[in-house]
Amino acid sequence: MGNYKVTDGVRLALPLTASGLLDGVAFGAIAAGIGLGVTAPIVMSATAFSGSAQFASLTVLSQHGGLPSILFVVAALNARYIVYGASVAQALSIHRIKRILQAQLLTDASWALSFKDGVPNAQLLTGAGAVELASWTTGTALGALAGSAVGSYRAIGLDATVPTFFICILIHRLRDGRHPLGAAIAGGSATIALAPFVPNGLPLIVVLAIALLPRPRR
Amino acid sequence: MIWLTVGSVALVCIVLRVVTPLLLRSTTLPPWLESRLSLAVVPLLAGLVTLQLFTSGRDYNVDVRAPAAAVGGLVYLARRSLALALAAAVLVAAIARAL
Repeated sequence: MGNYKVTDGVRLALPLTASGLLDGVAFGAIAAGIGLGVTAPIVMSATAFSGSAQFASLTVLSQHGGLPSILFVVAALNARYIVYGASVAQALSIHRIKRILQAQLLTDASWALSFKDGVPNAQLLTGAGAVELASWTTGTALGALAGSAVGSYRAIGLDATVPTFFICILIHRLRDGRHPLGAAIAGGSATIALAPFVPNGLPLIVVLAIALLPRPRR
Repeated sequence: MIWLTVGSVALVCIVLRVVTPLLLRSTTLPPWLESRLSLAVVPLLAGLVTLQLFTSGRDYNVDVRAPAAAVGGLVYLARRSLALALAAAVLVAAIARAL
């Protein structure tokens, strides 16, 4: 088992900075474009620090969905952190504040990197998470500032990044073999079938509710 | 509404990250709940994709983002690079709009 430093986590996560920066630029530009201004997207990235949840918030906001819809979607998309948190809990600092700060740096990538040797390592988690937080927040700031200056993010194609981001996460999830393609088709079909008939934001909540229903035992 | 949204989203994200390290040091979630939550993400992501690509408000609508996102998805399948996939999608959308 390695005796790692935080800088080892930073080094391991450096290849992720480009995508984090680009994602952040896209998020910042789109958020500014739909009227969130410059400061709010930066604060959101520095505190929420969750690409999928933040892009989902923009999706629901742009569809004029209400706050409950946004929070349902955010909670569902980030519920995996409950599991991640449980799996690394034993490795984190015993000091409450430091423990909270380390847990706040949990992402898909930092969690995976923290298990480099098969058991969680708080130093790797902290270094990798800090790199991701820095690139994501810096990207958001650049995107929000440039987006405000450019005016229309659509003209330069940046609005294509949001559905592409979700498609890539979806592909990543489907390729792990634990998630059936049928669930994705059912979720997409149900959402698009409901969209014209129910208030904005509700189709996603219906899909979530159906997915959480208990299945009959066979 | 903007700052309420920012604060609420941040609070939910922070709570979900820190709650188990603080409260469940030696416990795990019930397997059925862990399984359900994990499985719910895929249909939810698919729903987000279809909302983005095929609707505008409560109307059906398809624009250049659909082929752009398809190209982005294919690039991701081929190269496993989110940055490349996003760049390809932006390029396709920008070219399609310019034409």
